[in-house]
Amino acid sequence: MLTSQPHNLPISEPRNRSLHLALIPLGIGLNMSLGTIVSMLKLPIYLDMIGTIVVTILSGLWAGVLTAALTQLIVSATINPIYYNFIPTAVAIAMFTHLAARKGAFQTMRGTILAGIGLGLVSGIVSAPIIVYVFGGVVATGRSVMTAYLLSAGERVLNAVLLTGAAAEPVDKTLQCILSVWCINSVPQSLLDRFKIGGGQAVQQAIWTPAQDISHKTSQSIHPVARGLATVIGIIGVYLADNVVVLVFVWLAIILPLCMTAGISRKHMRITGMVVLPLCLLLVALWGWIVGAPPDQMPGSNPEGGVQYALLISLRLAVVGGIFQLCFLSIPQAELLSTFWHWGIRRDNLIVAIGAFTIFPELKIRAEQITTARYARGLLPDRRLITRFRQLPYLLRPLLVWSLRAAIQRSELWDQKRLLDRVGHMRHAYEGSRLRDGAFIGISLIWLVINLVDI
Amino acid sequence: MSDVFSTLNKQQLTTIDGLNFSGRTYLLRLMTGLETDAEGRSPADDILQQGAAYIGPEIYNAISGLAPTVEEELNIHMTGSRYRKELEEINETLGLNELKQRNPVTLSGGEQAMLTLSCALGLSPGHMAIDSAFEQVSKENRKLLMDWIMRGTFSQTLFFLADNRLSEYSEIRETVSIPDHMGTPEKERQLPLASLKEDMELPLQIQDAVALKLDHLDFKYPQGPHVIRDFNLTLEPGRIYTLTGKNGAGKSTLAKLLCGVLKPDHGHIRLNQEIYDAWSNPGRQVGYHFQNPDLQLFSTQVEDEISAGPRAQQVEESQVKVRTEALMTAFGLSGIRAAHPLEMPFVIRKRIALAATLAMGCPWLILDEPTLGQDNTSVLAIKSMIEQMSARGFGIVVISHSQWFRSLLDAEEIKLGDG
Repeated sequence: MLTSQPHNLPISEPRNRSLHLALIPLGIGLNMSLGTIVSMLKLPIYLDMIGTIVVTILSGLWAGVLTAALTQLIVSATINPIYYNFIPTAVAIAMFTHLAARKGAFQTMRGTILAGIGLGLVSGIVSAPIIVYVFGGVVATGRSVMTAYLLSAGERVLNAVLLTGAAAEPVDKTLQCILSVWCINSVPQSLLDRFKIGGGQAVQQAIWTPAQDISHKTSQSIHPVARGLATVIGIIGVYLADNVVVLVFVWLAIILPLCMTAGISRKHMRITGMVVLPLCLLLVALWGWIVGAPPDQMPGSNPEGGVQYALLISLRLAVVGGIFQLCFLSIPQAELLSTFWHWGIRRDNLIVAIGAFTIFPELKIRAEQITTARYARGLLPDRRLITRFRQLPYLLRPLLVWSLRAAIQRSELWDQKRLLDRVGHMRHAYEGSRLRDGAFIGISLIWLVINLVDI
Repeated sequence: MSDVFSTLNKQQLTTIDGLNFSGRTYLLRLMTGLETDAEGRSPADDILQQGAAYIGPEIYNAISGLAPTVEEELNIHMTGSRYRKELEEINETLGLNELKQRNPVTLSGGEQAMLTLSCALGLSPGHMAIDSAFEQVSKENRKLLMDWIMRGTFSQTLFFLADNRLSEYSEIRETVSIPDHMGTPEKERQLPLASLKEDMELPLQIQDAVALKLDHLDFKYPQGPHVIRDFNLTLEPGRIYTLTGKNGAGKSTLAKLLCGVLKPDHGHIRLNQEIYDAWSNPGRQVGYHFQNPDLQLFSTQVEDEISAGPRAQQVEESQVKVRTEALMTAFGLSGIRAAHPLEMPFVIRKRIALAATLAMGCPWLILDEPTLGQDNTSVLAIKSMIEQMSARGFGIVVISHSQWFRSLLDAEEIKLGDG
């Protein structure tokens, strides 16, 4: 089992710095690509925290928290807009994992299971108020039906959510903890040692003097600051909005055309069609039929209000999802670095941010290659569900080993070439239309004012 | 060691010859500041002030991971570079400019090699080491790069090149040979490795040799190019074929279709006229050895890795043992049977993956760059193993950039072109 945990390896420690910086994006990629493997194998489970758990165990608290939070943010823009609401849950999971690792919980099977149950409870407790205040108590999982049933039976909303959370979360999190530890234990010891002593042996750092004032010109499509401001103001406006008709109008007249202009309408339609629409149907059934009233009224007293409430939540989600996608996905790939730079993200954080947005295609390719390779070795004799299910852990292991090895080699490369300093020293000039930038901020401000006046 | 340095430091380009584990890699890493000598010093300290770059055989790990596009990757490295003008011309000639909007990780092996070479040059390093990275670059592009280097285009940089295919590079005039085990680092010297056995009798028998027939095979990637179009081909058992074609011509797609990883849109694969559904029985009749060994290694011990294939094929346990032992001996792996495959150096990982593929005993084998990173002695041994298997009725398809290796095999060429 694991020997003493590297529980206080701070990210800022010079010899470890690049190694841990390289690991964080890989952790985020692991979180996301395990989802891809699970869906590729068409399995009925859900593994979204293994990267966070592994990074927290290997690189400590701060790295774990960054991994957790950034995963939720990126998944919100790419896969499911619900996720960013659960940043606090993900952060709490990283913190609890860190605590458990420091206590040596992951050194034994019993400890790992206990840690998993604990993680599940923490996750359930932190998520409950979010689910209640953002979604009125029901999110689009199978659990929602149970919550709704408890609600209709007269249980108070928060209690109902807490109860369902406590029933479902520990099973999922325990499975994830066991898998994470099992994977870490299969990693060659020499690789793990690199993370403990950090940086590896005798990495001679060349003294690189970066050329003075490395500046790089890209003509931005929209000024990053305008992009950021419009996003934040827009989202606040959505949460203040409580009129279904206005939200429909905003979605049709602003979000959709903008998505089309930015060339991401297909991505937007995918999340609305695959995530928001099913959620909407489920919510309508739950609030309009099972509960029969919006959350603040007596169950069964106002089915029409329940339906309206369900529509409101779904529309908010669609609009926020659209804003998220417009904010992040419409950034041309070549402007990613300069956009983060203009947002004031610098040094270590800039490295992590750019790495996080770059890693997903890579891990996706790697995950597919591993599955392919396993088929090619004849290790999966057929394509039945049970065979694929039993194979899952054997796909995780090489992916993890690859990630750790890539982190080591990448950090070695960064150190040798002094790439972190270079990226940090690059200045990014902005060339674009001030008028257009102003228009974006202006429109979002008008949207905010409309909703404020409405209240 | 110091004698070697005094020779190395003088020339614009130093090519270093030597067998696997002769210490070539160690030497190159030493020259670029990634390792220190036994006393913990770096002999090239003064040069390292200028910066250094090492490009090893694992090209896919030399991508920085800091850039979402090829253009950005080049920008990060080239901004403020002394060689900026020259590199702009070079990138155009190498075809990197056409790839500018692509994500670096989605490029093919050869394209990635070119990108990392160009990026390293962009840093205008004092020392630049190219360790086996040219093995993945096409002949034309390699010649171009070598020509630029030898013309002194990059006058501020000293180049060190180690490769197993030096004898194929006609443009190289002289090489420095380093004596066996001269500079192997301690941990590698301790590995109880043996060399490959050329005359080893492999206990692999074939029941019925089968012809492999592709019958109007058609395949298109979703939202991607139509790679295989109405493809017809008959492969006779007991023969060796080489599969050639440019990047993206569909070499690996064809391999994946045959082995059952991909499902053809139309057409059939036939074994002796009978339709064979490879998709439902992946890796049963056709074994596939990947170019990148790391993707194909799953076990925590070398021995388990090799026996996993035959075990999954439900080969009798006694026979599994015999096969595993023989292949470990043939590939010189007996001494490291309990080692973790992924802890071994690249050359050995490649051998383990190859041994594991042969152990499956499939009547057809597709071997993608089986000699990558292997020195000439090992290449000869691999060649004789392939010949031995084909003599027994196994059908073998080899994909390789090495002209020398292809010429060693008495093989029929299958050329994939534009359709």
